[in-house]
Amino acid sequence: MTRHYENLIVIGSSAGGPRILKMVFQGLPLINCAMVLVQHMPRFINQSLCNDLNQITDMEVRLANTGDELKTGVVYIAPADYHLILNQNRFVELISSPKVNFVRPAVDVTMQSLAPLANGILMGVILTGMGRDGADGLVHLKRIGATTIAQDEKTSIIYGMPKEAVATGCVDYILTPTQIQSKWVQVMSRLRKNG
Amino acid sequence: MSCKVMIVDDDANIRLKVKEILERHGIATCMAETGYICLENFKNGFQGLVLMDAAMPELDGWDTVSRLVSEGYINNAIVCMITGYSEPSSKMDVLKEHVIDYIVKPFSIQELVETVQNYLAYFENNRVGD
Repeated sequence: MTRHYENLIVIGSSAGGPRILKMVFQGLPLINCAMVLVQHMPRFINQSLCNDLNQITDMEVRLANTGDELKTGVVYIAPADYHLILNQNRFVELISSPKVNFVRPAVDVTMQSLAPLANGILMGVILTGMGRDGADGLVHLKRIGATTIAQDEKTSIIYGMPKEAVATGCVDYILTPTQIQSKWVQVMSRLRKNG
Repeated sequence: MSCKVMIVDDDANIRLKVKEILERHGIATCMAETGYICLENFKNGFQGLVLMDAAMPELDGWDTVSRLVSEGYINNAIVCMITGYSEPSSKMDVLKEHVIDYIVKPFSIQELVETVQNYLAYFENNRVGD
């Protein structure tokens, strides 16, 4: 699957994220979108998280690099120690500017780097984590036409980031990990593996 | 050190209970009753997963993680906090990149074992890839 993307999902996740991401991605089929995942984590587990997710979904999961052009069917993970911004909504740039919300990468930085998509569907998702990283980013995404999702309190390991996102009034859906996957499949639709 | 999981808790009952559960699942553990002993274990070469009680006297769990960062041991550790609160201390704002997960009390044996196995695999995969 190498085609340019039409639809995009940006996911923000922090403490407890690896466990929740496994629930969200477990059995996720190939769907018609690119994904960008910002998970706060120590640098040395970047690759382990990537490998872990690759084993449980038909999407291709890889660590993002500067210059990557987003492709449908690929999940790009922001590596630790760099903010990930999307130039022209399409090209990855990793930057070492100061931490935002005490973290780098910050979900807000990635989400706020986006402009309205010319065509296609944009979605923002905030999963478990402490603090409020992602809340301002989700507000921005909502303003530019995205569908927005926050993980529900019951399944969140830390109901901090999702709570702050919900408090902005810009969240469309509050869902469990399983429901989040269902929503992705429903909205983005499946692709054939070789299609 | 051959153990890959360090249980840091001032409560001996919890330390021993967690140790017993994990060792029943074939996971070697070592223990520290204070944050200072945790740091000492790192000085002596510990590398692996740390199950860190948040609320300990003197050097609490958050301050111990701060010391792991400032003393350069954090790259040898995956830290999972054990806490009684689902919304942790604001002390953790500046440390959240270094704490990958939380186990909130009361937790089930299944949650404990699965979480430990998950992050232990991360650590082993990383080391294999080094």
